Amino acid sequence: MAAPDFHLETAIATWRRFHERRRAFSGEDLNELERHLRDHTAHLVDTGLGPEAAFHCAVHGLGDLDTGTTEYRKVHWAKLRRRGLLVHELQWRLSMLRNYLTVAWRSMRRHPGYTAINLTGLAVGLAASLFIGLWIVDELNVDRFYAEGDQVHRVWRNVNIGGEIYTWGATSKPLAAVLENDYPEVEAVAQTAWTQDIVLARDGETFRESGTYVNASFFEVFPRPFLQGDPLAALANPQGVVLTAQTARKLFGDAWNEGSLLGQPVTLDQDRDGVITGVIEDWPATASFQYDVMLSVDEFASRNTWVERWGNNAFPIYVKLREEASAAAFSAAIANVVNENEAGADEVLFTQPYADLYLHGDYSDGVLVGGRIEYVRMFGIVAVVLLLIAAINFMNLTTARSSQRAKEIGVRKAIGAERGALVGQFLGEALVLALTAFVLAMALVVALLPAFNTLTGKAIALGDLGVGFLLGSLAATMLLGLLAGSYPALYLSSFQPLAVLRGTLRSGKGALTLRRGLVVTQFALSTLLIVATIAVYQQLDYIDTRDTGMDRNNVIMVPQEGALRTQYAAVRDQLLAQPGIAEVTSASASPMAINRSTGGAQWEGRTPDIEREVFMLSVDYGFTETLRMELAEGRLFDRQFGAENAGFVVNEEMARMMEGEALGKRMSLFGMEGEVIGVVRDFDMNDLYAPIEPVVMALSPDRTSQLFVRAQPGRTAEALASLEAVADEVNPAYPFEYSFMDANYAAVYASEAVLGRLANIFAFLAILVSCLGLLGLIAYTVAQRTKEVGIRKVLGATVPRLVMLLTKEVTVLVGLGILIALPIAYYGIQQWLGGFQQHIDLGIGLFVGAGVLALGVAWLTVSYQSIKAAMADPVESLRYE
Amino acid sequence: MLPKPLLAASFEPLVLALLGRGETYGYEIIQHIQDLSDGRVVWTANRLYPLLHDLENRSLVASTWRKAGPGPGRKYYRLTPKGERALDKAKADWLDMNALLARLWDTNSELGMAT
Repeated sequence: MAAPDFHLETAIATWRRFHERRRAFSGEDLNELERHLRDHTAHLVDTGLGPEAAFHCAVHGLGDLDTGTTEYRKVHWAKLRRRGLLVHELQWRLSMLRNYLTVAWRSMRRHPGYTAINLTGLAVGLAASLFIGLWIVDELNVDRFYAEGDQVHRVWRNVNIGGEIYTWGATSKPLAAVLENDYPEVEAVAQTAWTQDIVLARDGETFRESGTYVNASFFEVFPRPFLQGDPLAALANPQGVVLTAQTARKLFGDAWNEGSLLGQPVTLDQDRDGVITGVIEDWPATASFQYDVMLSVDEFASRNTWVERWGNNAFPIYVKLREEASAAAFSAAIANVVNENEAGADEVLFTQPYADLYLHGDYSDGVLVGGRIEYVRMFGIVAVVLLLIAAINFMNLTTARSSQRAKEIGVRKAIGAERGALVGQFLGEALVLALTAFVLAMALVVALLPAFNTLTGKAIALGDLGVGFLLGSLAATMLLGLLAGSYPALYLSSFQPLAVLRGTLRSGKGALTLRRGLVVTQFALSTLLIVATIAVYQQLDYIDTRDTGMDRNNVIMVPQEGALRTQYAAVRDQLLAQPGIAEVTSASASPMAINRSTGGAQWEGRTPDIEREVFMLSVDYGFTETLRMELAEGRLFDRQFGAENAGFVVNEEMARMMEGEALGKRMSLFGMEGEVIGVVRDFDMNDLYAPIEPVVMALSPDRTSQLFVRAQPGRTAEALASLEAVADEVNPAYPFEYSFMDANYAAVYASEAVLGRLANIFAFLAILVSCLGLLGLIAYTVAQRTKEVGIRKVLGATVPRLVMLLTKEVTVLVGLGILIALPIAYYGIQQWLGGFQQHIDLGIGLFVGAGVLALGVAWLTVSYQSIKAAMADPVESLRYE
Repeated sequence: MLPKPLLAASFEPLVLALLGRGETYGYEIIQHIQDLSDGRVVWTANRLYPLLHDLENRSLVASTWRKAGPGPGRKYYRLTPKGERALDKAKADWLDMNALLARLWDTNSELGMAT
């Protein structure tokens, strides 16, 4: 009765492999069993049985090995406990894990297309989230590196002007001494001036560096390692100059640190002497202060005595409190210090922890309303959304494929796989995918980090990542894998093997609903990102191109230093004769950064209840014309009327504030008197977050500090060359410095521009990942309906009808997602735009456009698959499977 | 076949007793017992080997691998001194039990309880 093709050795080998795979027995135990099997079979053959029957009898004689497994393991455990070798058990468990992973790996390789889609989606989502994570960690770390930094607080002023509260950081210089002397809880006070360019000269070489004036105890509050010099003494010397290592290298060459630089003379701004008293380590990238040069604020005050008076607010101030002191109590105690010292002042002082300043620096009506933290939160949300989309993909693709794997599961269950083993297998597959995606994502991060740094203007190094961040993201990835794999794992393993094998199992309705829900969610999120991206783009474009009341293009700005200031009139005439240069004028500041204001302006009919600050620009003839400001009323400064009693030109906001007819009214400010001769249309000043302030322009060419040179159209390069040649000729002591006005304007919105670019990228990625998911889903749907499509075609359905049939569901789902997203998007964008003084109006077009785009991309994704299926030869389709 | 509880109770003493007669291996143990009992005591591998391993864990038996034809080697088990003591103890217990049953079944013997 033995079948002719029975080979005992093959049968034994198969039997053995089966048990090896199950790993229930150790190798030794299995050897013993095999020996037993062989002996028994041989014995039975000796008694005259055929080999096949003998083998089956012997296998039967082994008893139920599943029950045996339990017995074996009981003994096994006892042995382990006795020998304290739990490690072996762990190894056994690990080998189970390895088994899951092997199966997972095979499953991945069997379906390369599905695996690629799943991996790409996850890896891209992960990489994007990792980048955002890096960015957020870096943002959160800014200014948090100082020793005892939690004791440092910034002093703010809440100034009451006509019932409105303005929050300003600049304080009067005498405040520092009061805080230091009168408040025992204060350990030290740091004072800085505004950041400015400082020209250093040494041995005939000149360098322009960014720096500021700070007081002697600055380094007590903000300690930096001194490579040379003494932190406490360095700026006690009014002539002292503290450099960063990088600046020292620039000035003294690579070998600067071989000898002491202390006492080396340098010339400052070409008009006074300084000596080097300290060299500090370079500021870390996470410092808000990035001063290359620090000079003594007392020296500055000795040349600018106005800063010594209360009410002239120029210096940001920071206090370091003693360890035991309460910041809240101190903040309350100093509230009225200015009012007590300055007649007529109506302001409240308060403090804010310094480390919070970077992310929480926006005040509105005296109350902290946020700051950069909003961007941090926004991107945090984007990261979560991207991860969510990627995770949804994963679950969608896996559940969709589940019915294809139903047979495999049925067979596995029938031959005795426990449910736990199946769950383990599917979780294993999910984990393998997630981990592979993580590795890919890390590779992407490594490869793209330099580009990311360029884009965001950060200096994140991989070394900064830290083990914690890596482990954290790895753990998060594993969690994602487990979560994404859990539904398929639990759902697939619950199949009834009998139903599956008989073919009576239908793809569960629950799974279908879930899958549909996930697609809707995914496209809702994608649409949200698309709308946000378009809105950010439109707002940035609006900022860039809208009528700002002046024309910034083709205007070159040059700081007036040395001869450019002292011989301004001659330089101007010389420049006007140069090729490429159309107009030359000067002013005390860029209209985008007016730095002088006063509450003491007087004019006819001024009512005492007006308390707004008036901003002041000193200008040369032609300033308003060169910047193409528009005249609303009266006239501009004109040489034919002479400089004597030239009067003032004001902006519309100022004219409105003066009430009634502004033209011809007499006014005085900063010691000048005259009448208003003209009103120009309002122009953008400072930034779009701030309202337009009243501005007064006075003709005083001798008080200007910026040249404004308008190039002839299309000849900007030539104009710049001419400008540099003249500057080098008349002003050899200063390095030539220039900037383009439009670039400066763009710099004000740099963070919005970065936001815009990042939003672009992330929205693109979100759509990409969502479409990958859609691609997988439609491929699955098409595969499932191959036969149906074939039959319909045979019965006469046209290709367009079939394509419609296949894409109808996708259209409905995506459409639903879009409908859900649009109102949320509308609300969110309104909130964001509300922060801008000048912003676009949200039109219906934006939303329709985003919806059409999302739907279009979805259609494009599914069209290839469905058209291919619809065009296929029905004979082939019907033969399918 | 004998009833299960009796088989279970006699399992370990029988294995010890067989090993007390010399070194042997699993298959041979099953065969011997089957032959000696005229097929009334039949053990399966899935029960015997765990017991042998357990005895080994408790240091009552020791084992040696020996070569044997094609396929894996054969694992021989023998009693350790501790195993022999366990065998003596088992023997004494079973003899006591046997004597007790014998007395109960011997209608001639005086039990001293009917007074």
